[in-house]
Amino acid sequence: MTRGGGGDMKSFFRQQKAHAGAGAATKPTGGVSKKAAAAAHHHQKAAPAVHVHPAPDHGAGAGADSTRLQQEERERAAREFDMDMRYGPCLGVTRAQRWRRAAALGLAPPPALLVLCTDDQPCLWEGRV
Amino acid sequence: MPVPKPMERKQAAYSNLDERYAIQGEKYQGQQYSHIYFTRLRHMRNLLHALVPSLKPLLPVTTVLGLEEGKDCILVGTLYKHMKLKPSILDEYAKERSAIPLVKPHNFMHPDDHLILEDESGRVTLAGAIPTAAFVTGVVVALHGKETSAGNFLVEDVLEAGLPPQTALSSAAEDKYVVFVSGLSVGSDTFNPLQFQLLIDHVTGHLGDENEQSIASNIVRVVVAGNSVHISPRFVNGQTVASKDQSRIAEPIKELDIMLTQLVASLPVDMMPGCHDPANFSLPQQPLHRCLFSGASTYNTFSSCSNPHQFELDSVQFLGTSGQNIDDLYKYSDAKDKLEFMERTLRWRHLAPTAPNSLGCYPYTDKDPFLVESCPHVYFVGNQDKYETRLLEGPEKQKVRLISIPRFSESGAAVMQWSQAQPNLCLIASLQPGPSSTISNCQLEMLFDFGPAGHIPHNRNGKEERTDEIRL
Repeated sequence: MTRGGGGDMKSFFRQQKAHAGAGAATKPTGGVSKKAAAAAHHHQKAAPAVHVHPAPDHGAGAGADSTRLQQEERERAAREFDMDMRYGPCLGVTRAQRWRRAAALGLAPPPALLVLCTDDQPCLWEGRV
Repeated sequence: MPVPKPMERKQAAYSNLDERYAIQGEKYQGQQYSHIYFTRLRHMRNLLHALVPSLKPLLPVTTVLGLEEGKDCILVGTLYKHMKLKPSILDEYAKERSAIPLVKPHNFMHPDDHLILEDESGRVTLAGAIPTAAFVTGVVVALHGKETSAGNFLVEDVLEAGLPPQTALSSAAEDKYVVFVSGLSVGSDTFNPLQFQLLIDHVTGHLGDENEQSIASNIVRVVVAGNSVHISPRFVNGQTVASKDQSRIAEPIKELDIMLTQLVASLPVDMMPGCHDPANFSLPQQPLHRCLFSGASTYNTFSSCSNPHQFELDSVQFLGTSGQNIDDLYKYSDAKDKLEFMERTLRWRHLAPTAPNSLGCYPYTDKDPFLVESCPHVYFVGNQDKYETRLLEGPEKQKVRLISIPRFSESGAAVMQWSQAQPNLCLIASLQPGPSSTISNCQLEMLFDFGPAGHIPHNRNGKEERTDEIRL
């Protein structure tokens, strides 16, 4: 392909969330508005509230740290997939649908991401924008 | 007295290709229109990237963000036309209202309109050799040019995708006709039931002598391209309807059903919804429900189709709409006739490029069903002002017959298309009830007969004269 800069989409976006769990935990208002929006839109399921706070939900126990790190990694990878411009707009479609659309259009999204996207999980900005 | 031999109507193998326009399986999740634009850009960009190397071999293709000043390159993106006169909902809230005309013009063009090219990375204003009047928002093109110091993109050349590939037609032995009619407007003031009855009688073979009946026996299909009913606006403007008026709302549809039943008993009919029909507003309009046609839907020859409608008859591909796409192009761009708009939609490979912008459209997330992937052999548009037709030829030997169907309630004309080996032959039958009232013959005025050798009008007997008019 002859798109210039196709390899470094990341350079478009200076913000990189290294600790997605910590970022989510320090934004309680984000979670509240998501829940309110989820109640208002009858299309939305309870899933958005769940994925904003993965750390508190899975935080119990000794092995919690490693699982939490894994969760954060997965969240970060999922959010980068959301923000990746190559695959088109992320709002309004669930991550799994977006992945499937990208595959159908021949964009070859990495299959590892499909494992991350459970069905009905919308993108980062769903309910917030 | 010799017994007249019965004539049999010809048959043709029909297949309906409307699955891509069905919304039944779609689930609305609150999405917006960005997804359609993304899939459209993606699809067209693949096509254009494949075409560009053969036309402009040595130029690099970049994105808007990757433009460098003064460097010749090719950009691919969606056009956006900034129009001063385009109606905006925000005008109602503007503080100074003197500048905005209260009467909306039919055409929103203005000399100050300019084009902007947009892709995922950014936008750039266009200048140079690109005719602003010919393009509309939503068209995906490739542009050859360079960035100027003012930050604009100076266009040297515009590359459209061009006509899509077409499957070759096999030659066939016999003549078969398809009748297109649109704008019946049953229930409106301009509707004349005698005209419609005359059309039905002619198509079903109840009129005329053996000559006319043999023509009618060659008709294999009737396509009704939209606006078949006209429900009085006072019933649908939000006010409650008095109980004595309630039965009158459905009268036009019942009348249409009665007349359609006669037609459907005799030959297959495709019914498409139009902008005034009781169907959904946004494209693609879904087929009219069977309950509206309680009489006609009992026949298996009646098929209710979507708008746009795509079908195949004996391997001839037909594609057409009820006119909303071309009417919208007419509002936002300029061309010498409606056929030129139709030609442009084929060259852009998109039936309704203004679709989410100024034409109602369903917010698809993963496809754009208006993309034209294979070139039809016959492309028709209904509800236009007058009858026009042309044969469009493409660089790879594509041949498309473009037909603009006039509104029946105003013109009394339906279009008969010879759908076989020579799709360049097109007859128009104009059925007008004349002043005298003998009901023995019909008036069949054959206006033009475009033979392969050119525009030599000749009548059915092969003599080169204008017409045989037999008044009703």
